[in-house]
Amino acid sequence: MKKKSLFQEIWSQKFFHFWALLGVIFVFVISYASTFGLVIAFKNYNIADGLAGMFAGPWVGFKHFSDFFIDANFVRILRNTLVLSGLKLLFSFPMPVLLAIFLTEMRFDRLRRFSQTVSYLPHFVSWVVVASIVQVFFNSMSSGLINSMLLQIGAIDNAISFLTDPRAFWALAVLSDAWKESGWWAIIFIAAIASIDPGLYEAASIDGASRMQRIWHITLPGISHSIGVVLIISLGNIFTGGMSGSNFDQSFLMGNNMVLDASEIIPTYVYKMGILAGRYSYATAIGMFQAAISLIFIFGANYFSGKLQGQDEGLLL
Amino acid sequence: MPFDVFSIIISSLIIFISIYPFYYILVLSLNEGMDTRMGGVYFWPRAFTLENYTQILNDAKWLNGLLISVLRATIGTVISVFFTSIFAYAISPSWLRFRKFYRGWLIVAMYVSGGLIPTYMVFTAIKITNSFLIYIVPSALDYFFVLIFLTYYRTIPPSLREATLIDGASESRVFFDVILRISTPILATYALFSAVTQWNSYFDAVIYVHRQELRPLAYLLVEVLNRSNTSQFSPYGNAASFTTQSLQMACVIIAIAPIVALYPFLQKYFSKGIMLGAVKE
Amino acid sequence: MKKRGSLFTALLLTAVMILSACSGGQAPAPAGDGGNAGQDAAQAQGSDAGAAENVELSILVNMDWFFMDNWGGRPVDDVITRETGVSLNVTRVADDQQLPVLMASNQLPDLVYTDSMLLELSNDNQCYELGEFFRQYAPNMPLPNEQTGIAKRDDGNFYYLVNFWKTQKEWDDPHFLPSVGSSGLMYREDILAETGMQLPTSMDELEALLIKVKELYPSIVPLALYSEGERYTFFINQYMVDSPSYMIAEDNGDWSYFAGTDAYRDGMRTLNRFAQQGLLIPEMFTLMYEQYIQETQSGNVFMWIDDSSNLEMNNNAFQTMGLDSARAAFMKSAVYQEAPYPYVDPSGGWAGTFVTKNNKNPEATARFLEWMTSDEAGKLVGWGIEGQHYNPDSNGYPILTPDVARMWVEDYDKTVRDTGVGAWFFGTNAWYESVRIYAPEENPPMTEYLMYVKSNQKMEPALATLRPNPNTDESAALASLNNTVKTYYPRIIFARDGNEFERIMDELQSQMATQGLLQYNDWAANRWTHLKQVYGIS
Repeated sequence: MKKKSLFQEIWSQKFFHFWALLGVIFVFVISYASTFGLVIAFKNYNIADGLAGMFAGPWVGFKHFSDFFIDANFVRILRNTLVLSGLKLLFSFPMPVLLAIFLTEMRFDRLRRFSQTVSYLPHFVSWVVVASIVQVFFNSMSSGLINSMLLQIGAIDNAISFLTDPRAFWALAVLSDAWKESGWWAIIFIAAIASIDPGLYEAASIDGASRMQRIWHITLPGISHSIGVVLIISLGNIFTGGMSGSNFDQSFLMGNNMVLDASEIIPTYVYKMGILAGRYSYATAIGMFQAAISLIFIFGANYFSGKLQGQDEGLLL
Repeated sequence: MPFDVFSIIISSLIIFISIYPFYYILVLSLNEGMDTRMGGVYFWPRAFTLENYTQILNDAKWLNGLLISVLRATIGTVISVFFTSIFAYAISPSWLRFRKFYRGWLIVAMYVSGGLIPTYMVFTAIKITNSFLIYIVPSALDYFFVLIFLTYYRTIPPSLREATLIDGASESRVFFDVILRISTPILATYALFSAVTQWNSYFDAVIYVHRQELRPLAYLLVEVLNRSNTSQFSPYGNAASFTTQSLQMACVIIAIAPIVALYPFLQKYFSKGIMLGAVKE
Repeated sequence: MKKRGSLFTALLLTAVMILSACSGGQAPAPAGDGGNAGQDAAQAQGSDAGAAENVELSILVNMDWFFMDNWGGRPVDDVITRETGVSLNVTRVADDQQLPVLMASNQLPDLVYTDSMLLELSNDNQCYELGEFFRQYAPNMPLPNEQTGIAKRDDGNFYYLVNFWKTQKEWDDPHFLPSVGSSGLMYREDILAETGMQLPTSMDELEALLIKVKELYPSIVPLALYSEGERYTFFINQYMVDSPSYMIAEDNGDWSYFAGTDAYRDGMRTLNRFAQQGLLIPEMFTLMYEQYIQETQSGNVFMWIDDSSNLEMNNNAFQTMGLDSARAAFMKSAVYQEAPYPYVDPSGGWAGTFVTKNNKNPEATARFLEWMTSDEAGKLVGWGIEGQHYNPDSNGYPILTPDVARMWVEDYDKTVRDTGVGAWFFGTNAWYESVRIYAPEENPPMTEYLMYVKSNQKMEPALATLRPNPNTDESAALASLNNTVKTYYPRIIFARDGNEFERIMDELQSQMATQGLLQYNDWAANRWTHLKQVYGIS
């Protein structure tokens, strides 16, 4: 076959390139066009100076970055950010997958539909409301529902201080995240399972495969690509906290001064010390640092996902 | 069968922990505001009242908010489902030139942004602030779901497209008549995600919109929830913006009830076998 | 097969049509000033004869707690519009970032009414210098020093009309009270009576009282503090650090940041002693405001920090709870009696009105603001409409009509929203609202408490100008210091023993040192010396 020229090749794919370019332009305008603002990470920007002020004024180099790295709180908030996101990857990430498999395997149709519908209800409760519910349920005073119930049935002798213990904050954050978002993200995996060829299941049941074997050999491989993609993106969201990006809200609303050692994370710290204090250059610098780490994580994970499969291409690229 | 017993137990547990907080919100919203402040209301209203609801529903801006929310959820979703699905399809073929560039361009954009102020400047420059367009345009392409669509399109055998082309169809016919048709589960999923995200979004309304008649329900809800938390910084203390928790919870119920009802209608599209039927056809 | 594609196209077309209809109806852009994108000003007021004189000005109210987010339909709003020909198009913020975004992108509305970012807005890029502005557009407008002084920058320019400013004469008026949001230590009178003890006048007596309460009522929390907002700084200023403001305190003859002083260490040591005896419990520091109120109103706490405006509500709550004998009252005994620095009322006003460079109609704006600062307007926005909301007595003080007086006590927020009284303080003097709050007949406990607060206070507006300029090293240092101290506050209080207390306290000190404590102290001391000269304070 005669080799096509580059132009001919692109022309023959024109339907695809047309829509792709439209998307590229869209992404440029919506996302990349604003990156001119990153210049203020290297300046002392004063918002009163408006747009022109972003480019005027002297350069300060990496001052804001180094201010952040030598901050007395830096190590602690970096640790908290990584621990919180890491725990979520370990515990709240698998939940939607398990839930999706569980729901699709269930026999009772009405019960299945009903459980599926209610399992996504918590997604609609905003974190402000979740935080106040957590306080009402978990406080160790007489108004704390869980403590008073445990005391009443004699399971414990003294009320447990869920809200003042820093380690309990991590547990509460991960559990509430799993509770709030599992049903919601399960929908993606349910849709992925729906795309698996039913013929495979039919063949498997003819061969007499057990339920676990079917899940292990058909369902999981069938959705492994989706799982991989979501996992890689969650790795990239290490600063915002996994798929649902709940770290900020949780830390801001469910954290309190008693547990701050565990609850203060980079995004909340930037919000308080950067945005609220009017230090936009500082906030922008830290934002750049976070974006850089995220990109390293996501492209690194993509590279290894390719290597793992023995292919040149990762799951995303 | 052990799995059936197991599944009944587990699903009951799921149902309980998912529903109870909702039930709790409902109970608070049906309880008299000052009475709720005394605590101890967990399972049923102690001083039943519908007053919290009538108070909100008498406020015209909540009805207007409902209209805006419905509009942005429907229009925004239709446009976004179309654009996201076709863009993902356009960059999906493994033989496409520049596909790595297209995908990389998108992935980097998920994490890189100039920040709120420059974004506001860009959106003002393209004249989408302070108008309904702000709800539609930036969300027309969902970067994350492009990647999810890609994993879905991967499972479609390339022979399907080739066969349709040989029948004399154009590329766009292939997409609209074949690809979309067998992508119902993922289209329904994204339609649901988009509608819910649209419904819950308030930050765009806060930052980019100053016209009161364009405020969606989510904005009004956040205003109610925030005001009572920040009033402690006012020189009037608690006297300003005094909103009881019961009233707040009534707002929560009113703001989310319509969208919660959407899921059961979409659920039928998540069943197995749609794709196979299409291929065999 | 074809059906699905065309269905999609039809849906898309419909969407686009609705969309264009929506955006088409959006901008009846007023002819004339095109530079004001975003200010959808002219909502044509109909075509009656008066419309030509009626000016609509857009205003950003940068306080998310503010009573209302619209204009008109209230008696007071309507009188203002009638008198000035100005009606307002109000935007109330719902997020801290709205004002900064509008500033940076040059999209501010005609006016900004704000209680924060005052210094950030005070510059020629964003707003009019008001001395010059009023000289040009309202040359006869009186601008007393008490009002402008607080807003002045070092170069003598000022950019906002501050509200709730006051002269010494007004402060000395016996009817003049501090703001209804003043914090205080509230306690349950009935429990105090049970103990048979007197109100404490020192921290030791307070400790003895709390121990007694704990003995008598083991299930009740003896003392509840709060670590956010005014309730937090109140306790530190009043009971721990003997200082004019939380930003600066005297330490062995030097001025420094309060948390670096020995007095702070001693005060924290006392609180730590309280905590070790169970007089304070950590749980109360974890609660959001709503939950905090829930605990105090359900009678679970003996003594707590609260607003003066909450007194009646708490008592009503006790009644509904069935705690018939429970009564809340404010602690009216100073613990620091020989304090050289009485608790100072540092506010020279709490919000400012800015005229932005985007203002479409400076003439009308000047006319509007001139009227709003007049005596007539002060009475209108502070008291209401004569005959309807109040009647003046022979000394010129307002006597609220009985219905209105009851409304204020029952629901302050709703009264403001219904009448418009008590909302639009654009440069208004503090005296008007203050003497309305003075209600020894209708609301005796609150009035008495506020009179007590005032008796312990000294007016010192100079302190309000002791604030670092934005984007300076000292402002960054202050933000970090405040954050650090606040986060250490409960942790130090609940240190397990004396050793741990000293260790965490030292940790706080060294952390503050890395955050620029010394530099801040130098700056504050110099600044304060400067201000004392300017204001003639000895």
